[in-house]
Amino acid sequence: MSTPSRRDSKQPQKTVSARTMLVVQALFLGSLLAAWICTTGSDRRSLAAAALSRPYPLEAFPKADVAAVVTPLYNQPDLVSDQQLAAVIKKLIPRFSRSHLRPNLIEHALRTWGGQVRFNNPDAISGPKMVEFLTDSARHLESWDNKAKPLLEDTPEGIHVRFGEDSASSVHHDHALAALTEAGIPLSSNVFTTRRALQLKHVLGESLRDFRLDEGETEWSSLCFALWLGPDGLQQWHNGGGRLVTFDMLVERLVRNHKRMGVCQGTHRIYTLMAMLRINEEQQGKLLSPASVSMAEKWLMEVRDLIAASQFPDGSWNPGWCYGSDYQLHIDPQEKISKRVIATGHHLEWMSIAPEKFHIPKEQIHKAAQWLLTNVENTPQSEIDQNYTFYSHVAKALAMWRKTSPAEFWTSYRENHPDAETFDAPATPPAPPTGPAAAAH
Amino acid sequence: MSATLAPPTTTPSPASNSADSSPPARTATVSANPATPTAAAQPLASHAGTTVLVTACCLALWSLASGRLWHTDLWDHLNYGKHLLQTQTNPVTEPLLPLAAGIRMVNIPWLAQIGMKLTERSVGPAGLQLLSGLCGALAIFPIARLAARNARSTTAGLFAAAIFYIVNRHELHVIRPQLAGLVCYCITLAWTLGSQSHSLKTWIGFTALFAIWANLHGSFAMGLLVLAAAAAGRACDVFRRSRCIAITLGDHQLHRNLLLLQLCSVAVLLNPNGLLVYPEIFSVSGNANTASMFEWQPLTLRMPHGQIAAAVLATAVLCVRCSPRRLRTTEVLIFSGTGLLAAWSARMLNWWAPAAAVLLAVHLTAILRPKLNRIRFRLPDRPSFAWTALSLAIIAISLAATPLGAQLRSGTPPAASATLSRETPIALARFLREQKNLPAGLNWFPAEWAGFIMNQTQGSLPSMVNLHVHLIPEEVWSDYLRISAGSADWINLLDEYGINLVTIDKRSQALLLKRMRESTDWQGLYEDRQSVVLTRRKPL
Repeated sequence: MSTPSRRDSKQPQKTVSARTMLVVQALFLGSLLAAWICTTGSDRRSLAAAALSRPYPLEAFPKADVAAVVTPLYNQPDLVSDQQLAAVIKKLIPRFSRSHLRPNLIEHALRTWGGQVRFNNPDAISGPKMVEFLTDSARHLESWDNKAKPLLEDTPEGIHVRFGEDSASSVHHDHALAALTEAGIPLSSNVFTTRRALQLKHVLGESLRDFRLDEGETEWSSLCFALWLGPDGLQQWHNGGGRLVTFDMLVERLVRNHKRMGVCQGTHRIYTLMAMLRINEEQQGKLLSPASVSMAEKWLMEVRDLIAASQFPDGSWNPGWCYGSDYQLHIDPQEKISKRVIATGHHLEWMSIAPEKFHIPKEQIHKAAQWLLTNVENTPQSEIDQNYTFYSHVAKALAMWRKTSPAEFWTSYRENHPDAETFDAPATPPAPPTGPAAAAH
Repeated sequence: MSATLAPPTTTPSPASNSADSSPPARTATVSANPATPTAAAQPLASHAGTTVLVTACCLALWSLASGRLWHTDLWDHLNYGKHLLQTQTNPVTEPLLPLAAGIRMVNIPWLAQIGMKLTERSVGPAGLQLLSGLCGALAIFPIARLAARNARSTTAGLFAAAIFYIVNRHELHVIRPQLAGLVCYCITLAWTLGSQSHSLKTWIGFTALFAIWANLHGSFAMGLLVLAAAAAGRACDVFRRSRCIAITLGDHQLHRNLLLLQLCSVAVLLNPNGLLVYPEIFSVSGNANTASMFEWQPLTLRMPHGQIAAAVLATAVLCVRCSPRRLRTTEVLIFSGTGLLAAWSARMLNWWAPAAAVLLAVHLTAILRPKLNRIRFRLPDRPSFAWTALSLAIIAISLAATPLGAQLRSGTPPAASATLSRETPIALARFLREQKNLPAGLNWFPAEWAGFIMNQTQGSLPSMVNLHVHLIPEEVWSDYLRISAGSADWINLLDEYGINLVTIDKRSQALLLKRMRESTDWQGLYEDRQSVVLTRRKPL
């Protein structure tokens, strides 16, 4: 074998000329610049976010300060009279103990009564006070003797509302935001964490960023997004992880799982879907594609058929509503009556904003309303106080079937009935829920 | 002390009269060595050693091309390739999985996917088998040639080819874009561990290589690491000799290596995703979902390929210790760097195998050289066109012996059962394809089968997941795994995703099958030796 050539080692090494260096550097930098220029806006944001270890920035945000409102469609005094409505609403006046006040109660009360209502009864918490409780950490911590974690948590980009952790937190993801939204609180309203003074828009921003399509509960988040982004015709945004989210995807997410699943026996999904369809219609179809509208309508009609078949003879529904005519196979002998209140109240609520094609026969609606009225009338105030969150939907639903709101109706009613807010006994504070009950509502 | 060191050549071995082989071909074309005027007169001449290495690679080609197509990644890539051809665009978000809608997709291997789909479309699965074999052979050849040149021994080339094949066999048999990446990697590695010659051809060639590589597979990052190791290794070697930073920084070879690295690092931006390819590399390997994939888990001695890798590592260390050859820092950096990556994730063994093969082969040959020199058999020294012709003939015979060759001769493609791996659910897919009234909505398939089923049913049965797990939301993948494991809340999970049809691999999802059979809500629709299909009695 020939000896290894040492030719290479004897050749003088060529130098790298300055011109070559410059050309390569120019190519290098020029290529990077060209690549950056050719990158789309959303990809640039993604790159910047990855480089800075920050969430993907929000590119869609509502222009309006106040959210859309989904108004009820019907005024039916034959369904519920003024007297009957007043009797129900009175029982839902929020007379909460200020000590260890659960955000869940306030959220339901706020959603029922709105942010402006004021009561003559000193035990009742007014709308502005309810808003303050949810938006000012000091009020929240004061109620919990500074022994709870704050409801509102600072994040680098906004404010996160704690949920699902303990009694001092909200129960459902974005339920607090939904309550404030439906109460008409503007985005420019102040929100105080323990460290900063920000605004409600920072809560909404955080909600848009931290939303994950596959998390357990998407009903309240979807409702908020529809109410805030819908009026501007904003169909899509990127969440903090860079995932594109569209309203079509929200519809698919809401209809995909078994109808029994979801907050409150699956009934909040129905309300949210119906609200999204209403907003889409008001926006001349800008929010949802025709395919999504068809999908949602088909699903709602299935719901309609199921509840038509699953109504109890007394007019109520139970958690077995989703099984249609097989509901009797899903009757739990130990079932609390509050379960029926949840199902019946929620179904009446979503039908009040739904076009008639999604309604069950009129007589069934009347039976349901009658059952609720009788139930509320016969249920002691203490029991209603214990189950405030469930019964709040009853008051709201019945008011909506009169094309009004509890606050509007009560304010007017009170003018002619000055003693309307007199109660025989003080409010019974609801027992703090434990275990699964904490997540039930 | 000279201001510069000579550019690295092959690490000089002790002068010897190796009786086992002639020097491997430095080039198959005209030799630049004026000592061999005969070569200059025969432009297509090559050496006998080259023919030997070609023969070895053709054996590997035939072995890989005759192997059955693995039932996993391949089909997902074919599905994406089909989508690319249909839409004529590179998708921005995941296009095939409903549950991954909206997820940003940086589809780096689009070119490979199109190539695979076109191959499958034109000549069928046998074409894919050949593609697999070709990639394997093209990856092995530069490694074998490098070892033969460095050791000046064809035997070293054969050792390297064998070691590379044995260590990496499990990866070489799985056809996916990674194989194309491996070819590019081996070319880069061969240059880095070889002469590291810089010419205009080298610069243009590597720039083009990396530009194409970035459209074939994300492993171009490994290529850049190798080039970086070349620069770092050079700097270390110069510093060790000179003990002077100024001399080190003034080294021209170092400058050239760095400039080449720069050019290649921007050449990869010539792809539809531009700058996004860089963060994508980290996001795929760092994705939480990949941690649950067997092949991404750390390499351990419990794995067969882990045992082989350990044996090769031990032998390599021993050989380096006993070998008369010196080691360049570049070799140490690449060997140890890729080795650490392989320890971190078994998938990275792919990039360690060729480096280990070269190192072990060269040093083992150096140790064995006195014994090899006693062997009387010698390959002819002179390059000749005859050797080139023989190489080409061997290549042609190998190609003809592959399943595609047989298909072209007979005119009929082989049966799917002969081409596809035994784990491929062929009968199941046929059944699902023939059904007219399957329930609508999402379906649960084992991830390993999802690609094949979606391919065979033309995408009419959307799947919960596929094997592109980095594109699947974490919650979805986690729920998939729980369903697959037959978790106690399987009912709720299937209800959560509105799944009306479940296909079960009897071997992997035995517990889920047992639980579903006990449920009154689900009924059996189909069963064969490997799978069961169940549907809801009342679809959601």
